[in-house]
Amino acid sequence: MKPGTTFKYENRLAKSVVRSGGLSAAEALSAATRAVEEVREPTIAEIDANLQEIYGLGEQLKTANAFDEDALQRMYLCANRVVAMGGVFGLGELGQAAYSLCELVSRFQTLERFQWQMIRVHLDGLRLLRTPGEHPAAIRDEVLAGLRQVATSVG
Amino acid sequence: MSGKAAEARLNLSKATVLLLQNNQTELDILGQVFIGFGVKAIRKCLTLSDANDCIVKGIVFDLIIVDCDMPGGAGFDFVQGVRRMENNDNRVTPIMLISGHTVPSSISKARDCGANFVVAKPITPKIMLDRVMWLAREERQFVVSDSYAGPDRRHKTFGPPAGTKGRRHDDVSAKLGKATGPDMSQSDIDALLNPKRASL
Repeated sequence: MKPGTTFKYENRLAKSVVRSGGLSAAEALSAATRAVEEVREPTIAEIDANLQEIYGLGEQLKTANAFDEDALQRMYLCANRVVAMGGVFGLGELGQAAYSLCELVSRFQTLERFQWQMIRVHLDGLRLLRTPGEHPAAIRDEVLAGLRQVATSVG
Repeated sequence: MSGKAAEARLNLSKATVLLLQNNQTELDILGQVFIGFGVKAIRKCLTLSDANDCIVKGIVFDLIIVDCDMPGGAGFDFVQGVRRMENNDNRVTPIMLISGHTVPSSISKARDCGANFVVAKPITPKIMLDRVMWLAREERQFVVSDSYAGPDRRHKTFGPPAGTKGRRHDDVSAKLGKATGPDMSQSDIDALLNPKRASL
């Protein structure tokens, strides 16, 4: 095995941090927030499409009531997309619930186990947190805490 | 000059950024964030082969963002591949990995593929701005060994583990030797502990 070598290099990105010209942090944030707002509609539509797929896969798992690797993997991928997009447009708690579902499914996959009730409670949580404005913050916090507890109890 | 330090500003108008993300909506969100930051040259790639084409064609990027939720760990492989390209300027380009839920098997891959930073989704403008500023100030050395190529994974150097000599030429032993000069005066010590702002 050859010994490792270390060397210094030019960080080209360093040139972008300047003292004059360009954008202040506040200006950059404001411009980026405006730009991201342009994709709000398709993003929300994609979140809802992923949620519908998750609910459909939930029905499939409920009917089979058995470990179904393919359905679980598809559910994981859809939930992970909700993790990525939820928090961008004020659905951060929905993203956290989706993260908990990912954790649960990941643990099921590792252990090759499955329990429908644990999935069901997550799907109920996702439905509730999709419309956060309709539920008090205390309820939303409680739901999220419960989901985390369910997911981490596996294994 | 006022006492308040001048605020750092960001000028990415001349920067070239590569975004590799296999979901169109997520790619669009990322793209919009960088448009807002003033980047004019953004390469948005949905596939690994598109991103590889950009790299081998000789486009020199100032920043590369890679999604590590791509199937089969493709994002990690891409980063590893770039870090091993000895004659390509992109070898040392700052690379940021973005990650949603991470399965345990991917955690060590994320650490060892050679990326500068892993950022958890969701990616909001605030999070991305913080991380870009951090990457712009990155000063870690680049390490190349049989098993790893990328920025030094140690953000702080604490010296070699106790009882070992260390493998680097600049590793300093934790064992203290005898003093070679006069003791510092109390005022010298106070000055070290209470740095004063320089007046120019």
